Amino acid sequence: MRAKSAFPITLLLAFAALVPRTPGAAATGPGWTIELRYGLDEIFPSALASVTEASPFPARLPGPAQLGDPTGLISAQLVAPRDDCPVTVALGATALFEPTAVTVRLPVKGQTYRVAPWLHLDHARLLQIRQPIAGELLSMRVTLDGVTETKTKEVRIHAINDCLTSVFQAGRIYEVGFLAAAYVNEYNPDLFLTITRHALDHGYVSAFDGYESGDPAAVTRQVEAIYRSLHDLGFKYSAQTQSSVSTTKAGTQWIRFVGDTLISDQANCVDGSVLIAAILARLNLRVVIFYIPYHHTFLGVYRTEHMGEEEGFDVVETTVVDAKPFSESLALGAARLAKERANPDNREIKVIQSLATTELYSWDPQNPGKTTVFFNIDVAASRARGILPLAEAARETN
Amino acid sequence: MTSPRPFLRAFHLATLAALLASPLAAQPAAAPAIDFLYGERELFPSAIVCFTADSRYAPVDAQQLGDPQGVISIRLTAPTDDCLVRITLSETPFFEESHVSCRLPKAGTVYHVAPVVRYRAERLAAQKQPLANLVVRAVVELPGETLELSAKVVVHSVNDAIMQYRPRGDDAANDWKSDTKYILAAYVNENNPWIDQRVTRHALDKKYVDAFIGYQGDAASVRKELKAVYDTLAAFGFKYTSFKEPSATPVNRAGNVRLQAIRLVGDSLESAQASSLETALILASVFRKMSIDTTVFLLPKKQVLLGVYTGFNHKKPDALLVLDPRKLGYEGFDAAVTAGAAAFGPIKDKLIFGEGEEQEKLRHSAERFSYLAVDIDLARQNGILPIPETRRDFRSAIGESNPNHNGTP
Repeated sequence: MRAKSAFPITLLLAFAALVPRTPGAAATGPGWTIELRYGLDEIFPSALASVTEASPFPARLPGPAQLGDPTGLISAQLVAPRDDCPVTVALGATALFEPTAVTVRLPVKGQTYRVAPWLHLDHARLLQIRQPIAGELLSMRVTLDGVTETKTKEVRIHAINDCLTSVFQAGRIYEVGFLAAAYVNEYNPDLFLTITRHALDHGYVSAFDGYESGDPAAVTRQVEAIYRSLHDLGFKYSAQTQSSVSTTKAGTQWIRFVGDTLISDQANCVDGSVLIAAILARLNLRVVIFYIPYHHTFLGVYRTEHMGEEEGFDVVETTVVDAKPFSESLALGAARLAKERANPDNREIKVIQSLATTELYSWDPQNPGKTTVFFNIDVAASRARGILPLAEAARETN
Repeated sequence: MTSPRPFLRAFHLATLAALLASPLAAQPAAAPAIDFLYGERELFPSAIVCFTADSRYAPVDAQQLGDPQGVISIRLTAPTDDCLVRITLSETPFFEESHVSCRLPKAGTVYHVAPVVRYRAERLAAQKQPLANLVVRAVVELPGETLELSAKVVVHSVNDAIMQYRPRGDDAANDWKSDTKYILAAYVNENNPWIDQRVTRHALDKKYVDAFIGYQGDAASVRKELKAVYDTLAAFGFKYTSFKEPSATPVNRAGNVRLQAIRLVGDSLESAQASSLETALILASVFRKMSIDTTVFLLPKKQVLLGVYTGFNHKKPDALLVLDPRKLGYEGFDAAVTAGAAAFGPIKDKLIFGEGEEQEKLRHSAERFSYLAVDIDLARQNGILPIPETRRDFRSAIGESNPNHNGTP
């Protein structure tokens, strides 16, 4: 039932102690370096494809000013040789993006800058990377003050199913488990073709009308209808947490796409929560995913439009869909949420409109005390904060 | 020599400050930037593919140089009078490389210049999910200077319909434009092949009618055909499921667009699930294919009715049969008609029929666009075409005997 972590937090902490606190501090001499905004020598297609500029990730932190794409992943870090110095940074094509270039002017002599080209992503390719690529070569050409030089850097590319859950940036570890919202794909057409259709055909509800009836009990009935449909369709618990790349440099978790879960009828706690959240979100119900990094995931559903838990809130334990009735699932879910909230060392991070970067750190060399967080990921709020659902490519089977 | 009197010193300082603050002081012109006609760094495939160049409902900026309907433009300040500018938008998966050249008339004036973009309509129409981080790149060539601009854009699902928008640069809270609500007509797709292959075929096979003859018959005959279509959808197992949230929240929440998600006809037919609006749009699609005229009525609290004219050379209130589409899947055709008439009677005078002066009057009323009649035929005439659906949209069930997977009917 526990979502076993694909990587131990202790290794991440140990590694964090070794990395410099000021990004790019090692590059302030002559020459330039290829830098990644987060992680080390690895690229996460899921983050590239789902995170817009409205997102709190990647964190905007102090450090060298980034010119070109202000949130760009790959940059050249260099020192301006003179005031108002023109520089062109060109990046060769990779499996993920087309060749791209940017020309900017470095304002002040002696200052360190990062210059990031806009990545022209190949979205279709990006979304189909289901297995890691061990050695993708980044080839960057920098023309600075009339002198052109090319450098390369080898990076690993994760599978699209690797969800980034914590990440290094500027010597800190940031918990970014809210990126799991990208796997809630309410646009998968099979949600309606298979799940809600089944529920309607079997009379579990006569309609899925979201909050339109104004009756909290009607909302619970809709959630139960989905739960019973998954039971009927033979859903079983099946752990699948191992990331595509074993890494000690970032926290990751493998999350199945909704379509894959529907094909295999198997899910662990994250997959099941993501699947049911997708269906309910499509039906205009407000859902949250409780994501407890390295431990567990379960689901919350507001029973009224007013969004207050005191107004009515169902907590669903999705891992028992094959074995226990819906009422027991609710009891288990509520008990687990109460337990997490009762833990004095736990900090609940709500993904709401006002979520700030400073709320996201779980380990900071300056403040090493706080180490536990869990996320309350409101799917609709995540969309508003720029985490869009990952599109699913055409089914490989069926 | 005496020092200046204090008030004189203050006068000098004030003069200097005024000079610095004046528009004549050296203020750099705003840097050129990629701008959007509506939304913020967002593309809405449905609006791009459905509005014709002469559509009276399409968002437009008459002051924009190049394409007045152009969604993507470059905002720039003319450096000289009669300044030649050439703009190139680089290719993306959704449009081909596009250019515009024009002259900016007056130095110091801010202009929007929009190329006529060569969109790939099929790609846009097939976009069923939002897409993050499409990079739009523009090259701006001015005399003696070439600039490259880039912006990351969210591409919405084709299901996101723009119901209202606020014109660019207009911060007035209440100046929402609602003409785009007529975009509902784009989700009526009389060209969907399933109308013929599934819907009317089923009705004929089940002998609900002997033939579909539309207005070649009398009002009673038209009504019988309406019932045949309604009963067919009921037999397909149609049930109500809500579907309203847009695919991506507008970038600016305070926003200058208001959206509603609407399923395409093929998707609704495939799942046999629809909201009231979507049911009305499916019925309107089938009836339009038979040249039977319909009007979708939008009422407060998301209530939707469908009006169907039962006589040719018509469009008279007494020829209007009003259905409540919420009844589909739960009650019979006659009940839907009874409920429709009951809901329509009290409010029909509030509905904005037609266009022109009457509509303008209502546009400025307190109830503006709370009640709206979208005449599908009129919308077509005024430049709203159906969003195209391709056969691959029906991948799951094409060739199966039923439109849904679960054995109904």
